[in-house]
Amino acid sequence: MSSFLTFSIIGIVIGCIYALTASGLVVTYATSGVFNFAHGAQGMFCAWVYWQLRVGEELPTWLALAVVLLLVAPLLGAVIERVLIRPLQGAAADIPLVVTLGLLLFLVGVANLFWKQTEVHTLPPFFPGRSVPVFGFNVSYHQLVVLAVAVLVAVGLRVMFSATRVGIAMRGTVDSPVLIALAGGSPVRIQRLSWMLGSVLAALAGILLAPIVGLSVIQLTLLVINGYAAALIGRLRSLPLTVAGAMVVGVGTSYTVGYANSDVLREMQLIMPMIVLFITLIVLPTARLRGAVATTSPAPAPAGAISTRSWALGLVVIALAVAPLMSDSLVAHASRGFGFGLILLSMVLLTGYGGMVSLCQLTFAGLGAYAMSQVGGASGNPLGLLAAAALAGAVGALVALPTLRLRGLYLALATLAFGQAMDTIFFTKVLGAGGGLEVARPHFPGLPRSDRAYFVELAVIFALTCVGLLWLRRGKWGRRLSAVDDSPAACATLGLSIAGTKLSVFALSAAIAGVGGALLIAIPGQGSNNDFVVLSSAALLLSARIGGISTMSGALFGGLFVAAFPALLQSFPVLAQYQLSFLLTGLGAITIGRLPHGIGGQIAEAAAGLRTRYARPGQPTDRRADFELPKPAQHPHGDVVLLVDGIDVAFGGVQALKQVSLTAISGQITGLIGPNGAGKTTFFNVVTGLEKPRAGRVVLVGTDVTTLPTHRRARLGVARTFQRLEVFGSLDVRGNIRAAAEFHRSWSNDDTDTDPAAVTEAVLHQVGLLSVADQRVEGLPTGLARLVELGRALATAPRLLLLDEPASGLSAAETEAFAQVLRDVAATGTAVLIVEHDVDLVMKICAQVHVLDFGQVIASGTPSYVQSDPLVRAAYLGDDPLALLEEVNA
Amino acid sequence: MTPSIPAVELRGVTAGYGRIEVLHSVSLFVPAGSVFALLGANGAGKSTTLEVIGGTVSATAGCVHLEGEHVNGLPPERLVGRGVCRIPEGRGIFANLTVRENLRIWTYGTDQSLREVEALAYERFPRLGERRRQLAGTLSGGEQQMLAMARALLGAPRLLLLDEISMGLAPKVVTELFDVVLALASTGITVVVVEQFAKTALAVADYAAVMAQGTVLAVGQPADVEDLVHEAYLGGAA
Repeated sequence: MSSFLTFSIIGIVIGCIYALTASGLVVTYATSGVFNFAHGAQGMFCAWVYWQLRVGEELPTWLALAVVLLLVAPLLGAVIERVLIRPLQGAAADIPLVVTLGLLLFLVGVANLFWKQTEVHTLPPFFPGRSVPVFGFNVSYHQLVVLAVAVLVAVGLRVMFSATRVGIAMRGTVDSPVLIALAGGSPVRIQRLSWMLGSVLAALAGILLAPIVGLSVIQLTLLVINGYAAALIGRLRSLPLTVAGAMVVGVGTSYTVGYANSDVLREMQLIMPMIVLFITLIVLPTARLRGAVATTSPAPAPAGAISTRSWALGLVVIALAVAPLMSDSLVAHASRGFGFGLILLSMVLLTGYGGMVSLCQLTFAGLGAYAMSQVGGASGNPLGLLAAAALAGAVGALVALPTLRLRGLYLALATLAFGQAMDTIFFTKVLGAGGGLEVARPHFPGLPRSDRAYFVELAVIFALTCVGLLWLRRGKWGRRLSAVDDSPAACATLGLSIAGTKLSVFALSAAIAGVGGALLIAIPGQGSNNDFVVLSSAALLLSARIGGISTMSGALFGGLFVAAFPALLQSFPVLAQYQLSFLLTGLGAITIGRLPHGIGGQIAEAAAGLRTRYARPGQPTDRRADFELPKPAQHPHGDVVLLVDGIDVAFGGVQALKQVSLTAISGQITGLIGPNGAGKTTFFNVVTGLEKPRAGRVVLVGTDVTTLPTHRRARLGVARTFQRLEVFGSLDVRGNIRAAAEFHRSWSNDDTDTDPAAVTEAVLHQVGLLSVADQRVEGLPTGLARLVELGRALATAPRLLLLDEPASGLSAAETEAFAQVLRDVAATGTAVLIVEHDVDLVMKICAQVHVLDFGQVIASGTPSYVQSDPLVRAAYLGDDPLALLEEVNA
Repeated sequence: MTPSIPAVELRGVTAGYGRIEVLHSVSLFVPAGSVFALLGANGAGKSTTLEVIGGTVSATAGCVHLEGEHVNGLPPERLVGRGVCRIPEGRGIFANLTVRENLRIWTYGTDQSLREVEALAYERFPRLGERRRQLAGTLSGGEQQMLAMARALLGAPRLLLLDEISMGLAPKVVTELFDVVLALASTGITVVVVEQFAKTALAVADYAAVMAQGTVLAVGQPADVEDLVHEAYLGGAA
């Protein structure tokens, strides 16, 4: 019983500190949308400052506390908000992540600079040596202080968020910062305040935690991961749930320590927070499909096949030429450059192309090295490289699996937790004690064994990987990646399983990192657990950012940059003494990380500028002659393709759709009209599965699809366009349609086996986009972009085509041509359902028109019937229907 | 405020979102104390025009004058201080806060206390008073719009910008909301309304402008633009 109490109290105390940390995270995330990876580092930094004042300068406790909590911490938060967070508005989603990671490393670097880590520092607890007995167990005053602070903070936050205007405004900012401004409040001031508050909470946690776990830079920084788990349980929004989550993590960890009766269980306590985090991720509800986001600047277009090959060849020739000229140590450094370069290539694939962020690529590298050592043996059997790829790839897939249906941030958190867990339970145990990992260089028969030969081999492998990745990027797979990154929602409505695509990218990326790790560790031939720590993974990601994460040259720059550090450290001992590499990398990421494509991207941009300057203006290519164009698929006429029955949708207290029932018949164009806000787009979202109805059912070609996900419905033959455009902006017009044709090919069980390239040309011709086929879609006028969406939908040979305001943005002549395209589509037996404000167009082409008003169908019938309906005129013009009726009757 | 100075004057205003230009050199002149309707089909640029006047979208070219003063580039919260009140399209409320908490945020734009603000809002919209502890997101559409409109009652705005306040609402509620607008207008406030219910807007407006594809087609008194409006909404066949 007494031991139960002991562990409970220890658990609760730790839980309280996690609660402080996690609350700070939630406060800043909720008001600025930025997840602060540096939160723990801020706490660590403030704890050190407190140590300096309290122990170093021997200030009285109250004064030291006041200086840190009332001055240093708020100032730190305010500076971070002003310098780093505020400029991030409108940046691509992964940039805030890079910037706060950069800040994390920067703060770690600063702490190392000021406080020598070679000496042991201890921070005394509050009221040292004093305790009170509780049921026979001595509870120290420090523990009581922790409890009291946690309770005070919880109560204080509760009061602030429910009873003060600024607190209420902080909660409101989550929904709409603009509305705060419209009401006369300053969103900027509110955001600054929240970052100051977050910083103070981090400092409190750091100061309270340091006497318990020790004043260690890395440990305090990473302990925040335990807070992440709690914040996630609160879904990064709810403070009460966050506090509860913190208690679960704290107490759970404590009990595992106390009651573990086997070594395995005892290991578990080290990774308890990670386990909680993973379980939370699995339990979290699926994120709504995201539409297109405005990325500030899309990745540079990949170089052509010929230029890639010549660059790769050039790289190998240079490596061959310089190998004999370099000193031994330079060969070693340059080899490491290629090794790191390979791992960075895995990030180019994952982040640059796939738009995902992993914080544990070095963990995969370590797994690769481990596989190489086991399979490759002392002789360096090249099969070991295959094993490296297989092991890292498989583990990567397992890590990514639970988070793929969630937003990108969660994947990053999962990888961070996984990397940290592997640090503690695998690398430290397997490699730490046993004197490290022996990895032989892979030996290819017939090639000499020497440092220089290995350097050239690495250059060749790097160049081949570049060529391979660019080949993938230019082809079907690359189009698919760009499409998923540009608009997941559109991909799903074209029948693509987003999760499957992301999984394959993640696994491939992890496999490349695994091979890179095996080759890298094989340079010295020996690795240790220190090579794969999660902070180094983060530093590597930042190096990739600095080098340029979307280009091959970026990976090379990044690799050489990372490899140059040991060389610099040898030349300038002062750098090694203060571990300046973290500081510099962090600083670099904070500044250069904001250039979305780094140094490599700048070079690619400059090169592209030169190319366009000297290139002759190209003619749009018409490739119809290259293919035997397929005839559009024919479907039977007169079938009920869509049957919607009694659909109800409500957003909060607003009923968006009420008992909506209607049908769409193959071979016919059906119009859906109604005033703004009548629920037309919501209706389309219900049919395509982007919105879940509260009641009613949707039947597509005889299948009840009410519970099916979007991509499964698309595979039954529904395609749509979007009112708010969801084009694949980074692809050209042809690429957009080709991607859709390829998606269709990948899931259709059509025996006719049509060539996607031929389908693409046929569709380009059909919708009249041949003249702009080679133009990038981003930047096209709205009217043309709408035609791209139409073409994309047609490329999947749909049975039911949903068009959401397709004619807005078209000129009169274009509308005329568009009407003819729709008639042709209907003539093939496709059912077309069109939402349109151009009433003339609707009346001209539709066989049936339904009018939606306040979420209800108020009239259905032929165009002329609907047009004369007084209710309809009332809905459109705001006429009084009774007056109109009188007018008609008179 | 002298009558000779217009409440709003746009001169050659060009604006948009990112690379997409929505307004192409729009010029407008809104006389002080008038009710001014902005009409036109979807995507004509009506809402963007209001956003430019309210400061949430910056003009990339041209001048925005409020009561004769150049205000290009001022943030929206500063314009609130100059008497501008914009009720945005959709529901301009915080769905996850209670009615009362919403009103608490509305006090940013005024010197009035929460107590005074509540009294004013509940007097005009008694249904809000009955639901003061309810989350705003769970109110009916009409009640949500009333909560948004309550902001116009506070802090004595001089320019009221209303963006489709009737969207998705029953005619009875729309009438109720427009009664409030007319009452405010009768106190001398300038009102710019963006509306798709052309009849409703034209019935209360002193002047109207018809917009299409980011430009102003015509400005005039309601009778002058009515035919044009019909065409813009229901097509020539109607």
